[in-house]
Amino acid sequence: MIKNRASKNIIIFFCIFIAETGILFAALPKKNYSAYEKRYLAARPSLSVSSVADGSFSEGFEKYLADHTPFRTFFVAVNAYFELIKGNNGSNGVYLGREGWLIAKPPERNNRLTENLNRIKAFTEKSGIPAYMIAIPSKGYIYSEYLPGNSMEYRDGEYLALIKNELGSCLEYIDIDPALKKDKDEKLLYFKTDHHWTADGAFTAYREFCRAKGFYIPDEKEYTIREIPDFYGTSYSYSCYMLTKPDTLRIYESDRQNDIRVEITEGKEIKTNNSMIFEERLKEEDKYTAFLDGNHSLVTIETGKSGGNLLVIKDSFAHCLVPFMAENYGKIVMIDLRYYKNDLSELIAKENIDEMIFIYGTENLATSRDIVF
Amino acid sequence: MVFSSLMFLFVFLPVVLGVYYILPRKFRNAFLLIADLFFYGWGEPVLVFLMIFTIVINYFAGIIMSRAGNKKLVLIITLIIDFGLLAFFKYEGFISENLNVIIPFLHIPSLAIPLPIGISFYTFQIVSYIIDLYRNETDVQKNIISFGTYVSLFPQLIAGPIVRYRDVSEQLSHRRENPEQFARGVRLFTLGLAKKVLLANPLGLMWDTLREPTGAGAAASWAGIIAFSLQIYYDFSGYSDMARGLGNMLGFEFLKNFDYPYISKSITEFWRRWHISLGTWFREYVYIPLGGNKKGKIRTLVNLLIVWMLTGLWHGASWNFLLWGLYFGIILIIEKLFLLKALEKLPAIIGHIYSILIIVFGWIIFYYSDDVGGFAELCRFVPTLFGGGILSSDAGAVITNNLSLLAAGIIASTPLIRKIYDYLNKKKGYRIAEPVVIAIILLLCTASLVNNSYNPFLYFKF
Repeated sequence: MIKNRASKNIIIFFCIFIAETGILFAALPKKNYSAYEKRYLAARPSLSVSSVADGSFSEGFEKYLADHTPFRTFFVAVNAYFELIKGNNGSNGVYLGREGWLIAKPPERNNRLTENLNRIKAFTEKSGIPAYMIAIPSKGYIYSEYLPGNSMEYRDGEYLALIKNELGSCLEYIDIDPALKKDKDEKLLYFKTDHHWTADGAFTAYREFCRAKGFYIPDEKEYTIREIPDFYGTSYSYSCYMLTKPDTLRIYESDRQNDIRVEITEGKEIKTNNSMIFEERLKEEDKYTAFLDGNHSLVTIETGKSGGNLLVIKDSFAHCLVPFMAENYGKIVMIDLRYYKNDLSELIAKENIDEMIFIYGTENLATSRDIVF
Repeated sequence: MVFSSLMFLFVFLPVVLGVYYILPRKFRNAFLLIADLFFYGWGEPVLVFLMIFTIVINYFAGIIMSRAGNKKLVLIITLIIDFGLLAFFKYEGFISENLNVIIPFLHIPSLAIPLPIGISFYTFQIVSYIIDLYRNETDVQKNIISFGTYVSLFPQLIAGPIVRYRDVSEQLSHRRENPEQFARGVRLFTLGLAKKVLLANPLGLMWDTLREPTGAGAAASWAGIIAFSLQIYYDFSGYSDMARGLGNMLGFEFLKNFDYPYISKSITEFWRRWHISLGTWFREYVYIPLGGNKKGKIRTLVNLLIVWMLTGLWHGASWNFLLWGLYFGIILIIEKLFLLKALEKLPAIIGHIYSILIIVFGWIIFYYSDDVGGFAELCRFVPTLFGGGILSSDAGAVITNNLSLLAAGIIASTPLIRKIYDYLNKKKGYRIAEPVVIAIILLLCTASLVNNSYNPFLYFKF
């Protein structure tokens, strides 16, 4: 009946391929959370006259299907590596660099940096308390030698200079760039698979902070280092370069920090912990959240030490830097402007804040829409 | 529903093909009609009734026309209904908006009616039936199921090709599906899917990144507009290939809609190779009824301009489409008057370069519809082709990342791959090699479609 052998093979493959995927989709049990993507997957939409008529059923069903396609992660990885072979490194926004470095693409050139700096400046001048800033350059800038050949330009050098110029008059800018560049070959200052810096990177910055403040500058040897293997970070999730090796998360522990009390306020709920490292989080996919439990609107740390009260206005880069700073202050109040929408001046008065510090990654300073006081 | 979706590939298509081939022949059209309405209703759950209404009206118009004496009256009424619905749903906003500008004190409210998917295509198909019937060029279709299947046949329902009734009337009742044809369908469908997913989609992304920023440089703008020119070709011809392939799987044969348009040596040739079914439709049902070239030189030119303005407007309710149609109308007239003869005497390469430049520039006009800024954006973009630096480093990185894509896009727009295929087809190993290649392409397309939904929620970013 069919003479052409190729035709026969083509028909067989095609029919099996489309039917098998559909049948597996219908038959396989559905997960409702993807640890890999760190989000809840779409649920089956409810069928009703109104949901069909307004198109929400078909839209919802397509999302449901997409989220539960059999071998989903496999296909996503196939796509990422196919793009890579085509020469399109960074198809999902993250470059696959040399030696397993996954590096997020830089933000666009026309960004919000100047605007955000002006806001910070206005707020600092208004508040009238001594202020500091640490801006953490992006991984692509510090470890640029691991970038693939035709990557976009990382302009953190320009950004840091701009920050220094714009804010130099109203606060003390602590330049960590030279120190990071000096230490970067000795230690991994950033995770290879996550967009954050490591505790090692934060420690280098902390030493610069102490130098600027006139505090005692500690040595790494004064800490016990705990190593947690198999950390796959956000850059790994984003990029889908699934053959990349995991990171090891290093935690600096010090016996000088025994009387810690961390209080996390999230809406009306208050959660407390007696360490800045949240052990539960180390068992999760995203181990970086072990530092101060990840993102929260308001976190108060009673250090049990003598010293002033510090307000930290920050993004998540601060989470592994602030634990070091707990040595130097009696209380640290940490807020995240993405979630904290109350009046900051009130908070400053209520908590008797003596000093404040801005801790932000340059990338976030250049793109955030939440730097609003 | 679109073909390049997981829903179509892995739910709709296997179910439809499975049931279709299990059913005895006499039930297949009825089942296809149900499948078509589901396919259309999936994206247009309400306006599917508009299409059903159009089908019923035209079905009865056909019946009446075959019996009544005054065929012309039936034809005119039916055309008014068909084009009236098209005008209302597609051009109401555009017409009222412009009338409000032209005539003061007039305040026609804009109803903001959403455009029913595929209305331009199915209206043209249905009109071809009614006119052919009037001209006695086809027989009346007495079976409403067959008629409904013709109008709403899901492969060509939402983006063509515009299949004339007389080209498929035989197939509607007497088609014989066979495995060879089915395999041909799989090949064509896979090819079309690859054009859409592996070429058009990433080329579109490339155009988006190169179009936006100012100061990317002239080379970036050129690379961008080349990417867009390729995108629109692969998007559209990919869709046509998928439609023809799906038609084959169901036992239909549709005519070719694209024939390597970018290798044309003149614009006249280009329009014989681009969206063939639309050109044929306008020639058959507008140009020739207007008198074509039989009524003197002036009348011919006027007819051409009318056809090309309508062709432009058919593509969308926006001034730029009218301009785009006129642009080609005028160029075609110039070619008809003298340029074509001159080009024939020149080396072929001149014709190619001339055609590509005209086509690419046309796509710029085509792109900037009112939805994306219209003339203002068009006037901002065009100067970037000729000045403002050569290439910024970031745009350079985008271009190098997409160099292989661009090269593949250019090569695949020529018959080269076809020739290689025909050559390898005669070799021994192709029985295995061809299915393997098709399998790889389908896997890569699926990977890309799945990737579109891949969306890590990085709430903890920064």
